Amino acid sequence: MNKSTGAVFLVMLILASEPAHAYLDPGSGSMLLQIILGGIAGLVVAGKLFWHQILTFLRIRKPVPEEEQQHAGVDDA
Amino acid sequence: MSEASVEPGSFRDRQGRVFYENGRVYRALSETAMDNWRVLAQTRFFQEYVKQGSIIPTRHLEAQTTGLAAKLADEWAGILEHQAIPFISYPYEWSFGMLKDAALLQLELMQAALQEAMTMKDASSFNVQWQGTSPVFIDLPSFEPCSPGEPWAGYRQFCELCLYPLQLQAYKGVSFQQFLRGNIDGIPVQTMAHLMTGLDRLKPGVLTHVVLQAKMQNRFANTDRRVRKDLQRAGFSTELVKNNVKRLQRLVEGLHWRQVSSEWSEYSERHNYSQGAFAQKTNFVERNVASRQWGLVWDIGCNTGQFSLLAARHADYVLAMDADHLAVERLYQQLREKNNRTVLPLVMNLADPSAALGWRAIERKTITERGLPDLVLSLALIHHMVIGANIPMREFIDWLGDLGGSLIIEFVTKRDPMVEILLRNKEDIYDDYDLGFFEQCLGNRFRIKDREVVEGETRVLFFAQPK
Repeated sequence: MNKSTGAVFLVMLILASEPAHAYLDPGSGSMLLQIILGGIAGLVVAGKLFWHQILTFLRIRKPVPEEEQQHAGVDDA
Repeated sequence: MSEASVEPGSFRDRQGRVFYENGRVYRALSETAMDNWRVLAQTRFFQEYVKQGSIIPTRHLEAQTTGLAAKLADEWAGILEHQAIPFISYPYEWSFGMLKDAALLQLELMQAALQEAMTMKDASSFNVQWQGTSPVFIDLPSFEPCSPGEPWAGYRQFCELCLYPLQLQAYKGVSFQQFLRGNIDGIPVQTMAHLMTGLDRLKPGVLTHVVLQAKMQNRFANTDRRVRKDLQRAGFSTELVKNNVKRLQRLVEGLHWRQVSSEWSEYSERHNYSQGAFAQKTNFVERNVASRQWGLVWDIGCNTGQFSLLAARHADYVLAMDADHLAVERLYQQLREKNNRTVLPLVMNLADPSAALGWRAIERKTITERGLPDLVLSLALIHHMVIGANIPMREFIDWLGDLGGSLIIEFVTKRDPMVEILLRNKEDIYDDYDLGFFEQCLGNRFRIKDREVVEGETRVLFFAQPK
């Protein structure tokens, strides 16, 4: 396990997500990126944050509407 | 700088403000910032880095009854006084190695702060200044106690103002100064992602810090998630920040600018002086520079910096300026090895010197607003200004006169091979480029104290004092 595995993990999540083309919020994305830049310890955090999206990506769970999805994450973990 | 004034660039963080009075530098702090200062002042790393000169020496002014400090004490919770920096410079005037060393200092301080439960709230390269070739961190309110579960707020700023400019130079050979001068906040993530094309994406740090960051910015641009809170609840720890900073240190240390030969950098080796002529020029400069002790000296068009070093023996501080980035980089590396603390190398095109930038166009100052010279060395530069950059002779001399200091200037006649090269593809429209007219312009603004024709008779040296 190394940083590249972590990177692939998050890249998968991002590619699985719908891109947003609105105004730029320079903070959120950069803050979340720091999870994988933190190395192996970041995986646990990423898991907790994106548990719902992971299950959806692996087709274990059905996608939920966008507004519900945004409130999922940690609470689902 | 005899009157009290506020530093116009110090407004961003509401927790403090910088003021000047009679050459002294004060930082007024809010209650929160004072609390942070008290914590910082007790840390081991702060004391160590101040001792080694990497953090600006600072003292808390307890009770002030006179002057600006007394007035500030009424309005703020506390006042610090910083040691003054000899000359304020900006990242768009630094060479690659300077920006790299400034970036590494910030990461090192961040790492040291994290060991003692503090962090840095930002990572602006403007927070670093120079004592010669030693980088000095000046923005003390940047340090604050670390809250558990907080990501590094300055990460994106570090990328945009430090990492990307360095990567651009190292990976693409593109000088970053134009980007940093063009945008006070640095190179935006999205812009950098567009600049890193094809195989660039495989180079160290590009996929994560550039491509992925750009994608994540897009993805989470309008999320209504409270990311900070979510991260905290998911168990984001300081350990992650430490790991990230450590990786950034390795990444930045590994960035190198593959130095290619540039027109100017080889100048010293191939300039057309005979040995005798060069000795004569050195003697002339030496004898006039040594005529007194100078405060600030500007060596404009310093090239290899040998005359900057000569001047430094008789001056408090020397700015060694050249438009050629590579020449300045080589000079910086050479001075840095000797731990020079009195010569500041700067990338500066004198035909287009640093302008005022930022909010109200006063956040960053012009070069002349930051300190006028007592002596200017302008050696083998005038043909580049008048013929190369089309600046009228009279205007160039008037500008030198407006600087207000003494002047050692070398006039290079049209018979000189270096001028012939400049004119080889140009129509000679430069009737004002003439020794007689030059002396007339010089005489209008200066009293000529010394004059010497250099062996070979294509160059003439002058030492002049302002009228």
